[in-house]
Amino acid sequence: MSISKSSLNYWVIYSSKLGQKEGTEHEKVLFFYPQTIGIGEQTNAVGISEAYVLFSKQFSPEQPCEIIHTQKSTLSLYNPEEDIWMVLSVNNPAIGTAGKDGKGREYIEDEINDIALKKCVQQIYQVWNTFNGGINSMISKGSTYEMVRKRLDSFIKPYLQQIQFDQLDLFSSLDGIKFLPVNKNIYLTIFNYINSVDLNFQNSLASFRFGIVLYKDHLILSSLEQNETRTLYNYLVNMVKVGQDPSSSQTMMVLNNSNNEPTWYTKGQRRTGFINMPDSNSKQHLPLVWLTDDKPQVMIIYEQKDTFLLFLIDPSDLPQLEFDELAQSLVQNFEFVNPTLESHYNKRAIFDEQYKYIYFNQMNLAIKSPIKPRGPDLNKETMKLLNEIHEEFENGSSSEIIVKTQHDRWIVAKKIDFREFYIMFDNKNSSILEINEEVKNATNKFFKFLFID
Amino acid sequence: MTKNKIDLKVVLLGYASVGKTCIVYREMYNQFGDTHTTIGGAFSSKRAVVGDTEVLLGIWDTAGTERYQAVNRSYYRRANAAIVCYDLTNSETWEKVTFWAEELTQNEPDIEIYIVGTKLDLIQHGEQRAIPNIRVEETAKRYNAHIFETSSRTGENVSLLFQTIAENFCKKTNNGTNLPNHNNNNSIGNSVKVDQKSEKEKGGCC
Amino acid sequence: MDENNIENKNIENKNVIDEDNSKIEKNNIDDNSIESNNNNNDSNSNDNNEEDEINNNIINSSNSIEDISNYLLKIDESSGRPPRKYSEQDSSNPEWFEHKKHFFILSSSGKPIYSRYGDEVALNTFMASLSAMSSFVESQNDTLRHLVAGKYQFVFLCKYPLNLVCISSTGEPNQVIRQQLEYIHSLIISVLTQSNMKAVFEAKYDLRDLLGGTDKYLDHLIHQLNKDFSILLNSIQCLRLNNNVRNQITNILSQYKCDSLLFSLLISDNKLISQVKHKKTTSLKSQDIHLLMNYVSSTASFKESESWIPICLPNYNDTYFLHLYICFLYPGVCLLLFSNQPESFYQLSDCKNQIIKGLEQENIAEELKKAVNNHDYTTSITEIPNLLHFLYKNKTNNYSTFPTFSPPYSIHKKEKKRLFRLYQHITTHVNSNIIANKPHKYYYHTSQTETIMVATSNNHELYATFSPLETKKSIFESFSNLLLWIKNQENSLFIQ
Repeated sequence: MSISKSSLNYWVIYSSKLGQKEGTEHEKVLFFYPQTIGIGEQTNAVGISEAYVLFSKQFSPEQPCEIIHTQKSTLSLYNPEEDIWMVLSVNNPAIGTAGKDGKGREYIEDEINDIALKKCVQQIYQVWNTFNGGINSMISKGSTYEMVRKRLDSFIKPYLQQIQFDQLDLFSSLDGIKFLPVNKNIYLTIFNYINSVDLNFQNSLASFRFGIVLYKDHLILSSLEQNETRTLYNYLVNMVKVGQDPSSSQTMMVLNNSNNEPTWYTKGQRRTGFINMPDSNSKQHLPLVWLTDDKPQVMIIYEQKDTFLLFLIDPSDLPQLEFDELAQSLVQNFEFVNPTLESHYNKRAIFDEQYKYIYFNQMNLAIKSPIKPRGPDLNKETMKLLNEIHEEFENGSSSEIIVKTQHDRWIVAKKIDFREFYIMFDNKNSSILEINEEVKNATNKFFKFLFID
Repeated sequence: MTKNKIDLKVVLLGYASVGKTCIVYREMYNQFGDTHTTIGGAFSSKRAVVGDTEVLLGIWDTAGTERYQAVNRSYYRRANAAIVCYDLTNSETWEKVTFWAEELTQNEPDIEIYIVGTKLDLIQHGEQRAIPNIRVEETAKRYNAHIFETSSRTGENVSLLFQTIAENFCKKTNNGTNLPNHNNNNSIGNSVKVDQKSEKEKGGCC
Repeated sequence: MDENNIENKNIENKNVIDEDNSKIEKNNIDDNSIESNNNNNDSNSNDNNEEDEINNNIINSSNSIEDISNYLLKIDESSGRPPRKYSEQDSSNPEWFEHKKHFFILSSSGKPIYSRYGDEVALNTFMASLSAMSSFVESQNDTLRHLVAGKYQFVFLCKYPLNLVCISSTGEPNQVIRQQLEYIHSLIISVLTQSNMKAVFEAKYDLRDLLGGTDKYLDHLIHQLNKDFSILLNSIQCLRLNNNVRNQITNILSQYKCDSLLFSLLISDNKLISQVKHKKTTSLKSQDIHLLMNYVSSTASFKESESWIPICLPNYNDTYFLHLYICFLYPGVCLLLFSNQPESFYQLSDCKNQIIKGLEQENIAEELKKAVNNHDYTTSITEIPNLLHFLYKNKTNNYSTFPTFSPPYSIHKKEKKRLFRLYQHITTHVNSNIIANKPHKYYYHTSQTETIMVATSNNHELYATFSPLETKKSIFESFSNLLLWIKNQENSLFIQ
């Protein structure tokens, strides 16, 4: 029985301000993927989306249509900036092959989770916005819509192409940050080093500042706002793939090309030093990032064994930055700290081997889980169930849910204050009370472990 | 004295909402109330006495809404009398009268047709008659039908209507039994026993 | 659907009435309030509050009794029925959008057929936009299912030649709303048959003309859909009755029949007393039985006389009509006899007489009447102290049972609604398993307001509600005891 997975149907970004005159509707389209679809159909896609929004606004003016389900696809609409709309249409997974009359295929209509899909669209915009700033902002600073279209095409397409639409699971919805728990001493040591580096350089370059430091795919310290941290963390871990062996996975990172446009490149080999900056002349290739305010900053990433440090500086101050000096001070300080970080990193594995769990703290976005996002523990049924439970938690209707599936898997989920905890067991013959005991033990151990001295 | 017992099947036909169900209500329960669109057919039975004959009236109240038109055939089959109703104040309802009269004549040639104008009380309160008397008389003549005007709200002529139907039927079947002579011919003026109860009954709906 | 020709013939009162016209039109002498108990009139609390408020306004603002009676006179003059609630609203009124749950039926070509609120003719353009959206998706060889916008769900059910839409901000899961639309669709089929509907549509006649008088049934059905547990569980509630008595009743129903008789059912309100299938044919499905119960409950006239109606049972056969004999044997006890011949009325009427004679023997009728009055039970009968409420479904027969509400749910209508909502969510979650197509084995759900525990097996589903403060241990114990109690009572709770 052939099963086709969820896949991208189409993606479109349009401006509702353009193409108002009859016959010019196609001008609304700013970016459409895949480009094999003719302009007529592209315009139709925009048209139906505007129709959904207009219609739903009659009933829900503050929150117009955001999700559409059809038999064969699931769509998410997003309005990140005034008059700018983004629509993601994903094909529902299907079983069987279509017969001559087009029937016979069975579509699985509820596998793609609404929250996860919405998150996906938001993230696409997030990535765009981080490296390009807002679209309206670009227009107001003098770009033409043609220029915007070109940029959207070159920047968003590669990102879009690497999204796995059949893996929109709880992890993508939560979009959490893995923190590396370190003991107080190490924490303070690192904190002090970074402080001193900061102060040192800020003497001459006021805009220079530290952003975040990661060890592999775990965050140690951040001086940025929560959302900024999450965005950059996401970029480093999921795109640049800092925690992983570079040869085994496709890394993507953003650098400015010779036209000063942000472009996707591969990261290249691991080494100690500033990422993708073979010499100081490559300064101009460092990408700009737009974080909370509308002022772009240059992003500098320093790699030292498995530690990654991120700094920000105003473009105007960039020429004066002495990279060698910066590198030197970092090497000195972090070489010392590395082994300790490594042992801390390995410690966390012990608890992780015993239980299959996901822990998420909404307050600091911390996520902990031994479950591989694309691994065997997260089969379709579990994925769907976790998504559903999370949705229940999100709308505040429950604080604890326990499920035993047809395949005899127990999933226990709790929400206490802002923390969510999911744990699963495959003990076929346990009763609900026995499972309850096990969960109690697990949570006790876990929280002991979480708050390392 | 042994009584004759005969079955008399009566069917009510006509446009929706002319008041067929109200007529049945009035006859069965001597009440006037709020009613709703009939679906299908509702059957009620009542005993009446005509001389020394006991008449078992089986009254079929049918639905006037269009989709039941074809089905209503099964209700009037082998009926002895048909009460074809129209609303005295609504000309639109008259059209159906000819339709039913025609159909009955074709399919049930032996059936006795009674053309009954309903909601008489409204006319008595000053509303205009929607159908001129001449038209009614003409049609009645053409189909050999009797004419009545009733008001279910006041009760006027309802029991007279059924009384007359029963008597006529007995005459037909008994063929010669002496019966008190009730006027039952075609003209409007003297066929109806005018009921002196003409007080306004406001707020008739419960 | 019949247009309300409210023309004022009484010139003297014309001005007064015109003034009060808009207010008065909102005052609905509710069909339902005449026919069913006020207890059953639990429409959406939002609606009810609106209604009370408006009713108060009428009473306060009316100038005299004469105005009211003149209004009543007008009702008579028109179609003989009071205007439907909110029938004056349409999409140009902002209040129309405020209703929490709209239902629409339109033809596949966009022509309006029914709207729960407002006059469907005036909603022409609105219906056209609904139709446009689903047609567009159809043209892509796809089918529109539902839209989500904030707290609104727009659910579409496309069943040629009808499109059914629900626009709801009630927070119900879309799967439940879809099930409700299916019921509404089946109701329409039961009135027309699927074949007729297609034929009429393709001949380009107006389907509305054929649906005269069905508003009442739709309105009542929607009302039931919003609160009936047995419908939620896709099952039928049985009247609680001693097994022996029920067997005797079943025997009597089996005994008295005629050639064309297919099924005999005895129901009491929305509960099944007994059913017999006289020929080798498909059994009746729950949805069909619910539609029948809906017809009977909505039609007061069935209580007064014997009725003979053509009806289509969509799940039995949606292409032709069966003929249904309906007669109340006693208050609250209704006999339904199905025949495939339009001529069988008198024979079935005879059957009814014999059935009554049969029931009068050996006190069966008395037992039955007692049972009808004593059906309702509360959780206290189970002697499980911490049990607040439960739903049980016997999956072998698709029968269900549940107690009436006790405190805290019985005190406020809002609490009943809230619990019902919660059950809607939980039944959806329990049954949402895509792959195995079977429900989860256990489901346990706690919130601030209650804990619900669910267990399913191949032959049952049990949903039990407890206080949120109960420990898992006590809940588990109580749950097991409840299951035991139900098993012990199965003889009287369900038709065996």
